[in-house]
Amino acid sequence: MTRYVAIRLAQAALTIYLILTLTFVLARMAGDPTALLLPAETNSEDAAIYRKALGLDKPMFEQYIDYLKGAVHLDFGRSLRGGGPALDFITERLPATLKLAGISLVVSIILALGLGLIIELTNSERLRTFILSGALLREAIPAFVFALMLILLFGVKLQWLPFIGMNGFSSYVMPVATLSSATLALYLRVLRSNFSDERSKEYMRTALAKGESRSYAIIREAFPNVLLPFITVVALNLGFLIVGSVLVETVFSWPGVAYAMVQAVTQRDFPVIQAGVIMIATVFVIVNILADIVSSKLDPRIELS
Amino acid sequence: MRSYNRRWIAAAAASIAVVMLAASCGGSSSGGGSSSSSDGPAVAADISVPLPAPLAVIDPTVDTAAGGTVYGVLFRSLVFNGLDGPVPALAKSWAISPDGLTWTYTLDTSLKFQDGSAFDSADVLFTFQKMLTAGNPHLGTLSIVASIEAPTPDTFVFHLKTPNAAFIILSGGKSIVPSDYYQSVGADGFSKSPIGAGPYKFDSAVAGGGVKVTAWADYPIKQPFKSIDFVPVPSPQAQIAGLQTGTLDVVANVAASQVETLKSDSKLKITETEGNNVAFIAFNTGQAPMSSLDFREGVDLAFDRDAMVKTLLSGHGVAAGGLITQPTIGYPDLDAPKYDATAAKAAIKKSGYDGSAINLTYPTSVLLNADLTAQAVASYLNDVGVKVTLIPLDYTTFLQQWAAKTIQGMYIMGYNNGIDADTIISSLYAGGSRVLFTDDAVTTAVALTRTTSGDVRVKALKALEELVMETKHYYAPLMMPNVIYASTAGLPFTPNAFSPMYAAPK
Amino acid sequence: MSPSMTALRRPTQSAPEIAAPKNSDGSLLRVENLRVEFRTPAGPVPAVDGVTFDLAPGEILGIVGESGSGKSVALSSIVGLTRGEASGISGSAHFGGLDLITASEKELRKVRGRDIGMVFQNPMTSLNPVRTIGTQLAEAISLHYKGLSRSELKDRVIAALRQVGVPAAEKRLGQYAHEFSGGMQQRAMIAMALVNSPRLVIADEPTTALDVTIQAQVLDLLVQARDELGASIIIVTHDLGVLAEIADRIVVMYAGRMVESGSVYDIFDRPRHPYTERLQACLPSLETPRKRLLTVAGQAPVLGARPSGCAFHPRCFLASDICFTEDPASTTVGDGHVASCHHSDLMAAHVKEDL
Repeated sequence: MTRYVAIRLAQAALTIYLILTLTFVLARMAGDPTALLLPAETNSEDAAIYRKALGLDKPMFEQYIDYLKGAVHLDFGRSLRGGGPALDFITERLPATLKLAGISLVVSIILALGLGLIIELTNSERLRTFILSGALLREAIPAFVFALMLILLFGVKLQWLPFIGMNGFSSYVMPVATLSSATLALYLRVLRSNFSDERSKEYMRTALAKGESRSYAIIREAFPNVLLPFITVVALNLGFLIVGSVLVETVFSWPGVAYAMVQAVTQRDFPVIQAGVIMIATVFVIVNILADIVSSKLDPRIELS
Repeated sequence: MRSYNRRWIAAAAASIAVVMLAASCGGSSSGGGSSSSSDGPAVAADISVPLPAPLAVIDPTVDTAAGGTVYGVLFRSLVFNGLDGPVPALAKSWAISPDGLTWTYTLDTSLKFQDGSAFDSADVLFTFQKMLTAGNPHLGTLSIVASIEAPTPDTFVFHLKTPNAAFIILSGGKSIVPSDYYQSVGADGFSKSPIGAGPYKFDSAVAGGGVKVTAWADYPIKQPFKSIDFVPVPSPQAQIAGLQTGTLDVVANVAASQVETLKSDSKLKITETEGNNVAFIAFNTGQAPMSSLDFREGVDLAFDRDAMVKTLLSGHGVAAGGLITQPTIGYPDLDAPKYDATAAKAAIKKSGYDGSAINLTYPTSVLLNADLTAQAVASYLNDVGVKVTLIPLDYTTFLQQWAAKTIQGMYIMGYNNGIDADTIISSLYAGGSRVLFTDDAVTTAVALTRTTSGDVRVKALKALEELVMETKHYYAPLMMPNVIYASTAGLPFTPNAFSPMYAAPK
Repeated sequence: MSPSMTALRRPTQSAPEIAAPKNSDGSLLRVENLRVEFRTPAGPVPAVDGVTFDLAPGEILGIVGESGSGKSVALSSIVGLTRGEASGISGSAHFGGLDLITASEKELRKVRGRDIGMVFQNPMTSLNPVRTIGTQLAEAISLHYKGLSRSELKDRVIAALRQVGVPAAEKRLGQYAHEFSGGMQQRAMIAMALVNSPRLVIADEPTTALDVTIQAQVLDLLVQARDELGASIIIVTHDLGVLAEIADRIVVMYAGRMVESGSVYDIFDRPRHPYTERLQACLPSLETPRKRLLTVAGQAPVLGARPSGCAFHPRCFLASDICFTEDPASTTVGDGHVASCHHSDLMAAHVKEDL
């Protein structure tokens, strides 16, 4: 177990190094930020002075080494726009994103497992079709449009829920609903196919032969087996959660990282982009390790080695 | 980042429009009956205003972009640039040396900062020293400054490399920060609790890059609002929704297509002012056939600008005759070129254009209604025999190509006039980094606008604009959309083309 | 030999009995005319038809047949495990006075695992891979006997594992199926079937997936269960050899029907159906060692493609015209010995010649 964690941490470090490099390359490929930072009236000599002051005139490799040196000390430079430390800009906003994404993740899992179990336990084809078509309909609507529809209905028309910023419990409702419902159809399909696999397994016959009822066997015997592949799928879909956050944070004026990143990208604020990507990648890597550990705890057949 | 399929966006926009219509219809029926609570007495109110982008910092000495509106209420500058020209603010008066190279401001040292500390030339010196540091984005607009000095507590002097009559706009509009306070708390401390001399004081930060300000009791003029919450609300749809629910009080840049819907809501007021953003076509004159004056003239005559205003802006705008437009100081007010397809065809034929397709690049954002505008332009050009290939670019990519002068063929862009004509001149006429033609006559005409003042300068501006537009056709101006604000009815809200005017003008 | 099984007595706080110790005629299980149909694209097809037998308390019955003969389906249907899939189940199966075919699901649940224990072919997949052996065994008890304390449950589970010869039972409670060898897995399955001291144990191919040496140990455990707990046992198998050593009586099934039934001596010494004789001929024997194991020549019919007349006729060395057209009726050919063959007389002569 210790050995496993050590290996995984080494892998994680490598992953983060690769992400650091990739971020650097991609951000530099996106072009020169001076055109955006300076007013249109600026002539080219002044632009050159500005570029030099930011260190953008140095050879690419030198910039890369400086960047890596800084990254080791968690120093990603200062925001080209605001002048403050780039990492602070991200860390200040990280809790809002983590809260939104975390709650959405938990809600989406509970929602999917709850509905999935109801479908299995009732075994009603009609209910299944109803729930699944609802989820599919939601999946077919882009998150952006879905969020706006929620705002217009619950925010503007009924005025039940706030939709600007993060103020208290009720402000979570619509962003969480948007994010957590996006993957519902996918999760229900995964659960459905896993359940039908498990239900035909021989241990289910043993369970019935022991005197278990069908519902009891589904919950106690099949469910733990279904949970394993489900966790893997959920972990794989964390990326979608982050992509979804970008849209949701923008629409709901959420003070999180994702929206700040979009701003930073349009403004070519390299230090902020880099700090943000590294931060998100780190969270992602950690969550994936956790998902591995959780599924290995659930599946006795997997040895952590 | 991801790029979205345009058809999806169109479908999404259509469905949003439908839902929005439904929502607003319902809303207005419930609010029917007694209307017009608007135009009541101006009561001091607390208002919420959306910021399209979060503030990374609140520091006018290092940030040129995000905080414009906020800085306008928190800080004061040497002069107040009103529509009728500069008005004294922190400076009582100013004088220009005969050679136009020395600008001397006389400061009003009876004024104080919001923390009660006195104001003098040391504060101005500190502010401009910061802005003139290498790497500071303000350097771009202050590049003609050779040196600065503060000879006495109530005088401040700029020495320039070249004369420019519009320097009062450039230098006079910079927010001044209190030197002692800034140095004692440092840049980060200042950003967390900024102090200025403006009509509103910093109250508290709003989560996610917003700020709350309250009227400063010691400011010489009483303010229309008790407090203003600047809340980051990036999505335009959310801004409108916020306005409809009363969460927000003012929304700027309302789409023309939404005006009628919003007007039907008695709780809202629509304020429309002349705009200052001109959409135009520019030519890369280094290439054929754009190098031909006949070709450029032909293109200039090819558009029915009034029809474009009606269809593309739903009538909320005007046809443009030049790039320097009202209400900019010294605008020449040229008439829009007359639509004449026959003359256009003849001119293009005369130019020897071989009928091959020409690139027409445009940014997909910033330019209002970008895709539809580009398609309309392409269609008019096609009618007079000019074939174009549309090249949509995201704004930042466009900006880089634009700054690097690598755009081939022609491009469409929308550009904001400043309060003075020099904004357009330095960006698009005066050999700066975005000018795609070289013309000694234009250079001479530009110099004249910078070395003269008063009526002589107004004449010089008119001559320059006529030269660039009507004689040389270096640009084909298209139209200028109005600036449309929607606000809670009953607010003392009177914006102008350049500013929402949350602070009472002098 | 494993330790005594007497520890596997039922808990004292017993739930109300659903099934009586016997049927009114003295048998424990009496199956009559069992018919199980499945829906196919060509309409409902019987996988089991006319199965009739009875089982005395303490008796070991073997049911033998090739795969697809309906033997497993018949047994599963008796305890109601095919109710979900089968399109029709008819006949009766009286177990301790209760007709299992018409009993409610709730009644069946009380019988399953308590009065009837089951052992399956593939212990590896028949145990839940993600739950500990201890949990699965404890559940087998607690489903039927509520209110037992954790330690009581644990003691009973340990006892059950010990009875079936699982060494270091205490340590193995927390282990999972994949940590057990095949033989140990089957022992655990048997412990689970026996843990409530059932009256009937149904073992469906209990040894097929196991090593030959372990096969014998597993069969010993079943015999021991009968001897010490007095349980009746039904063993379903395709291997007649398994039954020779332990069965009291044997039912031979072919294409969903019983073709012959009788005492183990009847079946081995006096088979009256050519199929029984062929199955026997396939057994390896010490007297006539063969290089290769024989199988019954030809293919067993698939569901829904039952041949006309006697279903066995395409593979039968005695087949005559009548076999092609007429279904043979069950005929009593001896005391408790029944066969369904037009030529059971010829068979009698044939077997004598052989001897």
